[in-house]
Amino acid sequence: MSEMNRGIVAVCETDGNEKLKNVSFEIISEGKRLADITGEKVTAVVMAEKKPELSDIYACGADEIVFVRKVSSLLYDIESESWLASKVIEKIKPSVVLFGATDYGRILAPKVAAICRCGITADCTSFEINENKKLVQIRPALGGNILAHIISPHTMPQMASVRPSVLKKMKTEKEVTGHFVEVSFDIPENRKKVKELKRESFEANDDDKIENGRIIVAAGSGVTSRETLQLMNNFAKLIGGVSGCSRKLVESGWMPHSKQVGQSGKTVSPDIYIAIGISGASQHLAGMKTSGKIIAVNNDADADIFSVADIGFVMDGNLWLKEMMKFLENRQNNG
Amino acid sequence: MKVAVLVKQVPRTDKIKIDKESGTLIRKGVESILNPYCEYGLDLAVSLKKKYGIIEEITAFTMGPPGAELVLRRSIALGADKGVLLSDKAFSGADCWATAYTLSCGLKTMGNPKLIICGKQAIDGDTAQVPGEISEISGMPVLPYVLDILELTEEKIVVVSEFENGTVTLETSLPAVVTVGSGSNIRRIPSVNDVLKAYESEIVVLDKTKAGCNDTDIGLKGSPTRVVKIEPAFSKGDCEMFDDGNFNEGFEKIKVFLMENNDEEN
Repeated sequence: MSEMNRGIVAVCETDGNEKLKNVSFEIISEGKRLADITGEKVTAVVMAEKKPELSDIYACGADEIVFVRKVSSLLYDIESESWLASKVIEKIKPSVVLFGATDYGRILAPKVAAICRCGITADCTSFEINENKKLVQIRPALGGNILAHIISPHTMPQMASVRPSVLKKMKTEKEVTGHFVEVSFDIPENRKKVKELKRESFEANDDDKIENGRIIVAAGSGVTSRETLQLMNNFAKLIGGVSGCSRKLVESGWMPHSKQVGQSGKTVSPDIYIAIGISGASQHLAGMKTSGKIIAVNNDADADIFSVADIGFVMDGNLWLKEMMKFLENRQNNG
Repeated sequence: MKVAVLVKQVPRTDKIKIDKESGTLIRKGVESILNPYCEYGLDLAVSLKKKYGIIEEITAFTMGPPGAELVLRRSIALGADKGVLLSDKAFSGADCWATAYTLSCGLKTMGNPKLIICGKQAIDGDTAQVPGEISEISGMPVLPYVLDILELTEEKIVVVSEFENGTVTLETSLPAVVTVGSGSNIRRIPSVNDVLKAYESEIVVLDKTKAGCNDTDIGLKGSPTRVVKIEPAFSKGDCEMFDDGNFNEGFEKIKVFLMENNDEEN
């Protein structure tokens, strides 16, 4: 069976404004990197209401774009799109299929895999091609304490979802183009059972999204007062960063889920990550340890967060924020 | 209607230590708990039973070795009416798909419940794949990351689902699978009576024959994926430390990072 399967497919995801999400460019780029090793071609599959901006997709390395025009108005049409993706995969017969491990991708991908009756690995952070030309899918497990290397030895295609913001988006400078196909399928009735009654977006605009932040300042359970949280938000603004948090602050209702960094939240990889009062549970570390520079502030000198940090402060978070802001303001005044 | 809640026994991953040399898990002293997301699912089922008179029975399901019955007893103490354990040596080595298949077989034995509630993921594997696969294998739609159930009748369910950038209100006909991503972080403590009841309850044990599983679809044999290597996740371990006495020196270093970052942007 495996001799017949050729090509790498990236199943893309669009946001509410019909723009391709960053993670889609990341999986196309990774697909291209793998394709260069195996000598296959890369197909980007886009299921959307409107035709996407093609040049951006080709620029990441896609040889071909398969566009499936969405007819339903559901933002997350899990049932139809899992079926549609499986139909496209059935036609292309690729050896590898990649999904972005967003909330949507993490529910879509296992359904597609179950329809195709193939193996799937969730939340991969890197890939290798082994000596048998198999895709080695590498993912953190056990709360980020270990990395598991996983293969699908007997089934095709080899599917994986990929953590956003971990792999790099590549871009070629040259004017590139490729093959474009539009396909359509009649969606069966039993795939139309879910209706969307209402949609509410969180107010976060693009600049305020943690996945876009080049500097992130995040609070953990050591931040025990609203005043400190406010101070942290002000500090984040002052240095041009966005604020984030660990799971504890979401559970206490102080921060929205959209701001959560970690295994059950988002993976981020900013240039600078500043952790205030975060103890560094492995679940949290799994979501941020690939950041460029990590600065940690914690009362407890033994906190695990220091094991991944570049600079650590054994200090109270509130005091640290006040002193740090004073320091930066003085710097500004003195030129 | 009958409601099923899928539960999993997991090690407390926040207490796990890894042997840095061998990359293996140090199990000693690590307690097993009911996966928190499954507990949220169970809480949701119990609150639905209270709110809507139409739920006759909540059954907790798990797959695992005989010892996994503890997690079913815990579920009963927290409000499930009974527990079903899928246990057979032939189930071992199952990946997500084979687990989903085995659980789907178990669900069928109770005449396919109308509502299957799952935690969105387990904190050990963190794959979040079993609910989606069960929904396909059982031919039901899935409503993921449910925050709240607004309406439940014999025919349909209306839920609020939370995705990273917003919420959607979704309606579907039943049967359906829902996954739960959040809940109260205050762990409920069952009463002594509930615990006693849980320990006296009979746990239904299904082996592969009783569950009606195909031999080729279970355990390692039925699993399309294989773990070929495990290694400890890296840590940097060269952190430069400052404290109350010398934080200004640390601030100078941060300033350099911030300036470098600005240069790159401009």
